[in-house]
Order: sequence, then structure tokens, then C-alpha cells
Amino acid sequence: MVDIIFILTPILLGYIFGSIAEKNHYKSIQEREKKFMRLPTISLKTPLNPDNITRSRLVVGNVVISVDYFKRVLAGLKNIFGGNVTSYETLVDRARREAILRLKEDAKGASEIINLKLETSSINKSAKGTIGSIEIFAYGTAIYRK
Amino acid sequence: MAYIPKLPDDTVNVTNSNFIEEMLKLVVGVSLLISVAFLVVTLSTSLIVENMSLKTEQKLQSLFSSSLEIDTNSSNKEVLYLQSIVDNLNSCAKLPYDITVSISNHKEPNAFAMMGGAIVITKGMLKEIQNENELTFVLGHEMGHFKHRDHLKGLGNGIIFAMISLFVPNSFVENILSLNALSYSQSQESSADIFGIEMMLCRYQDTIGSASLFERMSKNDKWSDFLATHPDFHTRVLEIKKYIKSNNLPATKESRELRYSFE
Repeated sequence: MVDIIFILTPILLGYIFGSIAEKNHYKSIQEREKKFMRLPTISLKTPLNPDNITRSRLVVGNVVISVDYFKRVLAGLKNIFGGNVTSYETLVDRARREAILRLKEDAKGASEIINLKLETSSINKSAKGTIGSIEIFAYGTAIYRK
Repeated sequence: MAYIPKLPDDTVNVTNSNFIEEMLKLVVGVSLLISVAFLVVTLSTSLIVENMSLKTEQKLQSLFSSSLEIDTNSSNKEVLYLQSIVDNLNSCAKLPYDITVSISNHKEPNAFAMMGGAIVITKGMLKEIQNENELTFVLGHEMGHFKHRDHLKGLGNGIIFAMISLFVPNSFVENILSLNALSYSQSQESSADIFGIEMMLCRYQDTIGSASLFERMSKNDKWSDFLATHPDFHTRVLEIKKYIKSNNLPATKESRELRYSFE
């Protein structure tokens, strides 16, 4: 009985706090995406409009998000049967959008951001008994005009 | 080239799925898989174990006896006393190998039949035993597990546990599996009880003291630990009494006193 409580408690806590954190994060992401919507951010190597450029600068955005215990268990069970690990999709989606938003915040006053690139790495990927975290690093070139 | 501002579509990269539902489905699936694996292995091991020759059994026993790390302090009078009871009982039980008894320092009352022909009895158990007949019954019960090769049948399940923990490096599944791992089934306990009664008959030509220990245990809350691995005590007391009554076994002699008081 005690063993079952030991197993279920972290899963339940993970579900409750993970859901709350995810909901709040998405709310914040959507608000800030609206705010930055008019800043063109593209993966082209050349600017959309080559006129009037005064300077350019490297801008970066970086975020680390941890998976909660519930999602981890769900993904672990999914490993047995295979298929889409949907419980990790929101995790990656949030991290990617957050990293781009931080990059845009870094590019204050820019007229556009070109050559946007994303790098992904996972922290403590294979260490047993640890909960994995995802790091997403976004970088690009901010173009400033007169 | 015109830039068209647009908010990201929330539904493209994230599947809208119900995690709780998915979790339940997976848990049910995994439990089904494990149950089937257990059923197959349990049935096939008991089939193999039951049809095993005495020679193979001896070989298996000697394989494990070397790996046992039990402190068999032969100068300890208590251990020698227990050993003499077991040696005497073995002339009744006719096990094809020697049985060694050792005492563990645990306070919880329990006794185990382990691979390699070792019986381990806890200090907590010895404290609760009031006469030699009860002690003989407990030891006879554990020898019953050896006689019925219950410990060998448990081996198959042990292999499954090990295999699953190899394939699924997930602490969650491991924890689930270690729950109630390697305990004997109700019917195995019952037949070991009956074997214990037969041992008492052979040794004392009497069955007094076979039910008294369990009767005390079923009334006492302290025994919750023993209950965890030896379920349903009350039923076992009833079964012992029923067996004695239906076979008209004698239970009239006085019980023998313990040669040492285990304090």
C-alpha cells in the first residue's frame, strides 16, 4: 500500500503542477506572440528589403524546460508500444516558441530578424533516475533601419 | 516579397489528446502484457519443476548454496538447537539435500525458505514462539516449501522480474513489479501448512501446537508484516483445524518446552 502511494504521488503531483504550469505558459506565449506579431522573423539569409539598413546584430533566445513526472511516465509506457509521444509535443512546442519570443525580445528596435535558426539539446538525457529537460536555443540576425 | 504577419497555429505541432485517457489505455495494455507473460512463465516453470528429477533438483540447489551469504555461526547454541530440530525433521521429510537454518536479526516475525536449502527465521518470530511444537510446525512449514519445490517455482517469476526491468528502464514500472514480488501463493502456503502438520505427526505422533501460533497471530495487530507475505491467517487456522478434524489426528499430548528461551 505504501509502495503504491510512493508511486502514485509523484505522478499525480506531476499532472497537477505540470498542467497548471503548461496552461500559464501557453497563455503568456500567446500574449507575447500577439505583441511581436508585426516583427518579421524569417529564415531567409537576405533581408526582405535591402534598403536603408544601418546595422545588423546577432540576437539570441534560450530556454530550458523540464518535463514533469506524469509526462515522463506516459512517454516511458509509450516506449513499449511505439507511436507518437504526444505528451512531449507540448513540451517541445512551448520551448521552441518561448526561445523565439526571447530572441525577439533581445532584438529591441529591429525592423526584421533574418536567418533564424534553432538548436535543440536535451539536458541529462541518459542519466538514470533524473527527469529530462529540453533546451532550445534560437539565434538570428537582427536588421536595423533608419 | 511581402511579409504577412500571422500568429502560429496551435493545432499543427501539438496533437490534441487526452493524456489521462492515454495513460489509462497504456497502463491497461502493459498490465495485460505482463499478466500474460507471468501466466505463461508460471505455468511452464511449475510444469518443469514438478517433473524435474531429484538429481536436477540437487544440482539446482547446490548451484545456489554457494552464493548464500548467511552468517551460520555454529557456536551459537540457538542455531544449533534449530539445526537439530531440522535435521530430525529431515528424516521425516526426506528432502534430497541438507537444510541449514539461520537466524536473522529482524524484529518482524517471519520465516523464509530460500534457494540453496536455507531456512531463515527472524528473531521476532522466535520471540513469539512459546513451545517446541510451534517451532517444529514453523520449520516443518518451511520444509514443506522445499518438499513441494515452491522456491523453484518462484524462480520463473524472478526471471521475468529481471527481464522486464532490463527492457523497461523506467523506475515506475520497476516499482510496480517489485510490489509483492516472490511471495508464495495461498494454495502453496496451505499445502506447506499440511506438510508442517505431517511433520509434527511424524516427530511427536501428535498435532498439538500446529494452530496455536497462527491463532495468536491472527488476533494480534503486530503481525501486519507477516500478513503481508502470508495472507489470510484466519483461513489458514481454520484449514489446519479442519484437516486435523477430518483426518482424526491426535492433539492430546502436552506440548514440549523450548530448550532455549529466545529473548
